[in-house]
Amino acid sequence: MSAALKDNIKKEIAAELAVANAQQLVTKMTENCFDMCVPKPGSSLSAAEKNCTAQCAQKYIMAWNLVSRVYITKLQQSGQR
Amino acid sequence: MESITPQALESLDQNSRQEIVQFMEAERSKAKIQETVHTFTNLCWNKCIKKVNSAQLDGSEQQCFTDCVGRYLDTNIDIVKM
Repeated sequence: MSAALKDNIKKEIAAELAVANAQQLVTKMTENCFDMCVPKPGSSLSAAEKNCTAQCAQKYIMAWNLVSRVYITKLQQSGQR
Repeated sequence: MESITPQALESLDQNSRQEIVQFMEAERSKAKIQETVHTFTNLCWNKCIKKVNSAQLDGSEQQCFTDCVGRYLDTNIDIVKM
């Protein structure tokens, strides 16, 4: 019984952090892609703006993953020294 | 599923409590690293991406992000040493 509760608590903590991380990603991605894809906001988003935003979002996630790999590698290297 | 109530928490044995504390420390370190990754991605995006014309990162963009993170960390070390 203790084990089930313990696993449940761990799962809840991990889920909270995953949500916080996703929110942060969405916020930054929206800021940067809005900035890049919607230079002059009109009365609605144009097809070109939507297309740009979709590409931008994918690109941003790729950049996030790359930065994560590079940073973690650097951390591991500096830990070994 | 065992729900998390104050009574249930009381029932946790010492080892389980210890394990949860360690788990939280590990998650906190992970969150700190993720926070830094958000900062770097934002900063380097502004330097490396001038316009969006594909959903991929091309080779020179990838190189730019890699260099951006590396030189930021070098700059950080140099400033700390001043």
